[in-house]
Amino acid sequence: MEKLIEDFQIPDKKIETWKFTDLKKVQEKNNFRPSVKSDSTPTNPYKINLDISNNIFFDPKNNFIIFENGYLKKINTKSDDLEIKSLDSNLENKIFNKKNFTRKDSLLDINSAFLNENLIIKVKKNAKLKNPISIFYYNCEEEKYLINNRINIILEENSEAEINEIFFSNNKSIYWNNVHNYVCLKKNSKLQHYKIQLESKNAIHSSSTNIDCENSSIYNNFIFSIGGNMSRIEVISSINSADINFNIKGLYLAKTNQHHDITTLMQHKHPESKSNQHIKGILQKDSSGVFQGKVIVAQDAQKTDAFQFNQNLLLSETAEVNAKPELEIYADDVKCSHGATTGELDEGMLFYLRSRGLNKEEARKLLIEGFINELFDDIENKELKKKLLLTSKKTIY
Amino acid sequence: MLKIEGLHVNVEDKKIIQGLDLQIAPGEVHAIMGPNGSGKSTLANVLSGKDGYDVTKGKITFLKKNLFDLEPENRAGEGLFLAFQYPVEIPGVSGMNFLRTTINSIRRYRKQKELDGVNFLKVLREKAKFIKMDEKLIKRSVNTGFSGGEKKRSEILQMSLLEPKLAILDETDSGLDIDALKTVANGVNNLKNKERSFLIITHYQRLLNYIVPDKVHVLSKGKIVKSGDKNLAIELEKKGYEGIM
Repeated sequence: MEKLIEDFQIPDKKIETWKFTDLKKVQEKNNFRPSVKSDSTPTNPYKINLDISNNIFFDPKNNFIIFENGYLKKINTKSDDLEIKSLDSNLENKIFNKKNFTRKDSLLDINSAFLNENLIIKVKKNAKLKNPISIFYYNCEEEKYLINNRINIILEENSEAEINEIFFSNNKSIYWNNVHNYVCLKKNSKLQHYKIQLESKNAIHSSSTNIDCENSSIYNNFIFSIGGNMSRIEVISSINSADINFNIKGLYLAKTNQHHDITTLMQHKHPESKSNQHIKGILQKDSSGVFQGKVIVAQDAQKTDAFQFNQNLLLSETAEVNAKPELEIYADDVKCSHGATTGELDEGMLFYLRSRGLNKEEARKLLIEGFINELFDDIENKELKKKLLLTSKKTIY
Repeated sequence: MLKIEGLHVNVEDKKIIQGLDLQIAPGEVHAIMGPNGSGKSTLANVLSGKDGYDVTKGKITFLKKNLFDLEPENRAGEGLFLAFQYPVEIPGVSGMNFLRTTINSIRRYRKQKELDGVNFLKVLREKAKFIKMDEKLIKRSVNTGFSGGEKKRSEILQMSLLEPKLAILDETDSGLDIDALKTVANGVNNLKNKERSFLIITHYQRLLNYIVPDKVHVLSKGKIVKSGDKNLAIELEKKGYEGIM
């Protein structure tokens, strides 16, 4: 029998990990329906939508994948070391060790049940990809559809790559984007993973990235979340061997009525690995932000070095933040720390700048920029960094 | 230049400055000395326009303008500069960006042409060299992780870039070793001219060996209790505040 969205439980505040984000309420209001692929296959080759080619994150030099209104339109690879194709879901379970991510997750169930596309991106052994892989998820229809896509990423031994996911729209469209990633990093591989969430102001974004790391791999995740009416971005790691370096940097910039949620789960299961999370939020007007970060250090995971920090800047009296950093440590020889701060711009800093001739507005701008810069400091892709800074500035001022 | 008449200032209902009079003419260097809690830093903060100080009585005129009518940034524009006792750290804001923004804000206020990147760097390098400030420090976030001495140097660099008419140095000498002290003094002496005035607030006579004041005032319980020339500072160093008062 055909499945219906009504058969699934949409997360609401009754679920512990969804305490601050009520997706069910939004679904009840909007009644998003799973999108259905139209049968007619276009005879003409796909021409890249102008909205995409004009997007500042689009670079024809890169490898790219384009989704339009939920469906795959184009794959463009420039390297023989890179393989991108559709993945058979039976095969998927063989490649990915899903038991590391067993948790009750109705969004994942929904994703599986209504899957639009299931892609695999494979970077071959010893390959160091010169150009990034950009994935565009573009929407321009005003149907209230629910889009389910899945991207599986494998970096084979000693390989290196950068993947940018860009979620955006023509800003009129209303949809719910539900995306899941599985990432598998083999020995000595390194992935830079940027999630750039610029969804339509009416859209819902829910995504989860599940990362399985092997020996000496490096994973650098950067979350840039500014779009959508409601956004929930999850990062779940499974650290299964030694000498892994796992980093999450994140920034949410929330405006009028927006709700941004970043939730992470760091599972240190093996000794001698490092994880570092630094999430910042800037909240304006009636917006709200959530950071929930949990670090679990298993009994065997001695010499773990785990750091987690959340900082929020409230730029209005009506903005709200819920921060919940958690540490669960079962090993006795570890270095772990966590913390969260929420506040307005520092009066002492504002006065210092004003005493040097900057008016209130200039001083505020400079401090907000500083707050962001600190997080962007070690972004390796300098060109992307510039574009992200520019986009942040446009969002705040 | 600056005229303070019958100034009374409260901080959280506590009387800190109680009837202070002071007049500084263009080109003069004044030093204010006094024990802890005498109101030295309060005076500096009130002059620069910091919040949290309640002026209950008195008047301050700066270049014929009522100082209390001016916002802190406009005081800076008019030519008032405070070298802070404890400069704040501003993570994420690079020194370069900060200095360029500040110099151009001030130039705009003074109706001077803004400096472009090239000219700004030229001016900056010259000034930084003079006060022996490493360019690497300037590229870093403002004051972030700087040593005490580096912070004070950074204040002097800002002072020399902003070319104030009246510079107030709030215990700039505290925490400086002798070499840093000399460099700071050099920076100040180099800026001295017959238009520019200085108000140096300090605990010790040490700095005044290098920056010679025209007048020295002793502040006690929020009032100037004694004024004299540079010899007063030397006398103070010998006899201590109790011996003088």
